[in-house]
Amino acid sequence: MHFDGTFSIRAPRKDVFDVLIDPKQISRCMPDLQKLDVKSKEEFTAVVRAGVSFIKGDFTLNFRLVESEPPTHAKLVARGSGIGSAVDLETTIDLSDSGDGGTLMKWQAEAKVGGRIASVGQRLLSSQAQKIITQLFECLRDKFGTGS
Amino acid sequence: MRLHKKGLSTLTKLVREEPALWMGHPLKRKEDRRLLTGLGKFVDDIKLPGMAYAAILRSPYAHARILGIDVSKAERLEGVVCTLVGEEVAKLTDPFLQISSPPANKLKDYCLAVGKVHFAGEPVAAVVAETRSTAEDALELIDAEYEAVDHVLDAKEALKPGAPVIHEEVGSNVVFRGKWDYGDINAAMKQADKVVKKTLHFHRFSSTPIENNAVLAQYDKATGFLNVYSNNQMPMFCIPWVSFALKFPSNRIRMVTGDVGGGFGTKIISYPYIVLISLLAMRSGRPVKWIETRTEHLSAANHGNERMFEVEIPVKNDGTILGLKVKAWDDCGAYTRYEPAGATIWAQVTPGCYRFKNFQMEFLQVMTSKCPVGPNRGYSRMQHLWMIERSVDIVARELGLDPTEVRLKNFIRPEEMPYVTPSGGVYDGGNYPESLSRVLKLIDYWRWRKEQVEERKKGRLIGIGISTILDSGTNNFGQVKITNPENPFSGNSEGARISIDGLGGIQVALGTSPQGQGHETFASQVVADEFGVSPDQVTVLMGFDSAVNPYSHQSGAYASRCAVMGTGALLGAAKKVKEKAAKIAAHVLKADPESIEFKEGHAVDRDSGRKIPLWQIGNIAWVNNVLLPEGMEPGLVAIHFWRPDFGLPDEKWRLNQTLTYSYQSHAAVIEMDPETGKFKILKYAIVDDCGKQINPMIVEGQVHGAAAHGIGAAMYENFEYDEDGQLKSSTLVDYLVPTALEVPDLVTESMETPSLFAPKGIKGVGEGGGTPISAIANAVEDALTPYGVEISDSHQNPQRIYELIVKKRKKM
Repeated sequence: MHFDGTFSIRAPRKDVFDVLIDPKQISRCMPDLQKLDVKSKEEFTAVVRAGVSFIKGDFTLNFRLVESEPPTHAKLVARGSGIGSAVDLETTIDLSDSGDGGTLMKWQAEAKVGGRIASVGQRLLSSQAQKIITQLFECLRDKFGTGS
Repeated sequence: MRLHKKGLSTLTKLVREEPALWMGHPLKRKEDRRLLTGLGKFVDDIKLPGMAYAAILRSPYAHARILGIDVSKAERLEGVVCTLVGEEVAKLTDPFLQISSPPANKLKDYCLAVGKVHFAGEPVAAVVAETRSTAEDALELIDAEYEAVDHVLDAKEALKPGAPVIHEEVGSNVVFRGKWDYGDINAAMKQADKVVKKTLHFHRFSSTPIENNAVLAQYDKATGFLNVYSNNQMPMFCIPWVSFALKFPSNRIRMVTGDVGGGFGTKIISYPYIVLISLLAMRSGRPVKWIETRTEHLSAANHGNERMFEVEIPVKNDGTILGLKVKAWDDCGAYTRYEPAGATIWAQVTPGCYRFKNFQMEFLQVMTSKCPVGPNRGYSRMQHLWMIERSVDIVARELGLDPTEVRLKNFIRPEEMPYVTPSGGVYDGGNYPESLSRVLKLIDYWRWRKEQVEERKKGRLIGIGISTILDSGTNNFGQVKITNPENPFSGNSEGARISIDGLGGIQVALGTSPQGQGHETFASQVVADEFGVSPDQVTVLMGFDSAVNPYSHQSGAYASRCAVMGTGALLGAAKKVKEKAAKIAAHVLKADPESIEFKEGHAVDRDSGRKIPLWQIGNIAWVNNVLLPEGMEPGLVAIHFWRPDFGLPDEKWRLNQTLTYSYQSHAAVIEMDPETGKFKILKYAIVDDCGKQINPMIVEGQVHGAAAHGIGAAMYENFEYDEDGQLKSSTLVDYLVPTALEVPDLVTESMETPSLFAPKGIKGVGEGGGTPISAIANAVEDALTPYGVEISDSHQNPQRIYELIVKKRKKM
């Protein structure tokens, strides 16, 4: 499943970038965060409660920052499992100046979900994943107070 | 019974016996009282002291390396007894037997994935706990780490260079490649007025037994016995798989089945679960029960073979079919657990009901990253016959002929029976033109044809589809020597025991391990006639127990064989018991044993009319044995093993692959809504012929069941995977099984053409050959004639039909 979006943020690129690579800040935008374990600047584990329809449960997601070119580009990959399912997530973020002192953030996410959730919740999966991922990025945007 | 001395086992025409009393009678099923009152004995009803429960962790990936499985957290959960992972299984067991030729037989298959997972849903670890819910909770605590690798979901893609290889040890994804070539197909192509070409696809679906797979295993340390209670439908056939894998002696494995909620083939290849649960029972020292969930069943038990065809049909303008040239790609999923049997079993019915002699088939069986396939009602013949019946309709359309006309022109004639097919099949009698004529009458075919024309003018789309299909039964295992001559299987056999005890009670035991087909009923009817008693006086043991029932390693409920094989074995056992009983009766009555008959619970001297009751014969045989004729051993019991006269494949793979060839004609009238692609069945008619019927009520039930199954496959049931190899229909919300509301009223009629070779002239029935799948495909295409839509898929999904209509509209 592929998702992407673009929005502008009224904050300088560097500030935006620092938030994006800070596990504590990102994890606060994750839906129903149960637990966060920051191992290093590049690695953290988050336990989130998620699901589709009646199949809900905890997912343990191991995040790794695999590409970081401050303050323009970052790539974060996550692999996780829970409730008989597996999730592979790859997100890329590219920042550029929006011209008015703000930042234009272009994001894309490639998600692969397997196991029970994918199989049982197939019809709802894509919209549910879209919802979670979009919320996450909107939350990040809102951290800067404004945006469009 | 002299008749049976001569040659049940030879392919000679049998003379019919006198009409029997109970055979042919629609006796109510003996099983139904307990089943309808909740007294059935299924695996889940068995509770052994100290029993624990297993749950299975399954792969979320279609293809991935297993980097590690950490069960430590699961083992610490209170109530967990033990765990098991693939690496341990690889040390404890041998890989399962493979029946492919090299190199496909190098495939290493274990009851839990070792090193790699090969389809989403494959078992990777198991937990035993005090309760089922604890076992399932513990699965959540297992950390399994995978590295996904490329997968392949399409048989043709799986053949391409560079395609992901599912099992590296095999070297490629090819399981079997073979060519059948009879007559002269090239000459037929030259003689033809036209060569009709078509690409067809037969979709994936399965049977949906009301009871999923179930295993309860107990290792008895005191006796060294492994007691397995399961609902496997060939429990003794799978003994080599279980025994070799577990490295456990076969003579200490006891297999027990009870009531079973349907099998339809899906319960033949449950041996990996039998091995897994047995290992867990040995490891835990406890009896361990595992009951498969519906999602586990749909996603990982087994699917029916998916098959693609490229067909070329040389025809004359008058509709004469000169031959058939086919290339087939069979997608057998990730493992070969009964395959490549399906790669040859279609050849039971090579030409369908048709007379053409020129035939060529190039067959490829290929593995993909999907659920493994296994036998499934109409196994392998269904796909082939669907292709033929679809082809006949395509020929009719292309030549502007009525599909009934093309069928009647090409049918094998009744006077040609027994008919030898190009691949050596010997059809044991039948009248296909009569069957078709009757179904056309039942459905009122010509009236519908007229109405169709009138209604089209009003914009209403009526479609009429017909199909005549063979329903072959009682297979010859010699067929698997085609794919691998080294396979140690051939023929078929079944065992039965009949005893008359010291009080005259008749008890019968069979090896057939029923799955709900009514074996207790038919067997008591057959035996009642032999002894001149009522079926109520004959007790047939329920289920199967290898420590109690006679069996051969070919025993079991499969291939529409039980009525034929069971009757063969029962008649043999009855003959032995009757011969001895006649000698005892003759001794008492001072008569000639040859003149003793069994009537109304007595042995009667035909000459004098004097008689003694069966109980008295039983009494003498067992407990009053001083009265026995001199030198006669006590007891009144006989076991008989019966086998049909089967051969081995010749150098061109010609072989009579089954003993009986039942057939059915179906006719469907549908109404199509071109705005949605949705259609409904207006009328459905069936004429079946399974030879002499033992119990017409059971036969009709089987005909209805097979029709419902085929209608489900045609209209509702479909296993589709998404691009990541995740099954999109793993619950009954998405995998739609027809209920009584979806199955139309079925108008049925029977013909009885006695089998020329099987005992009592009976033929197997039950699978039904998936006839509705072609009847409905033909009806859908017929309804869409104004749009010129061609149907090339076996599954009539409204969305796809709508897309086809839209495509044609754009061109119009």
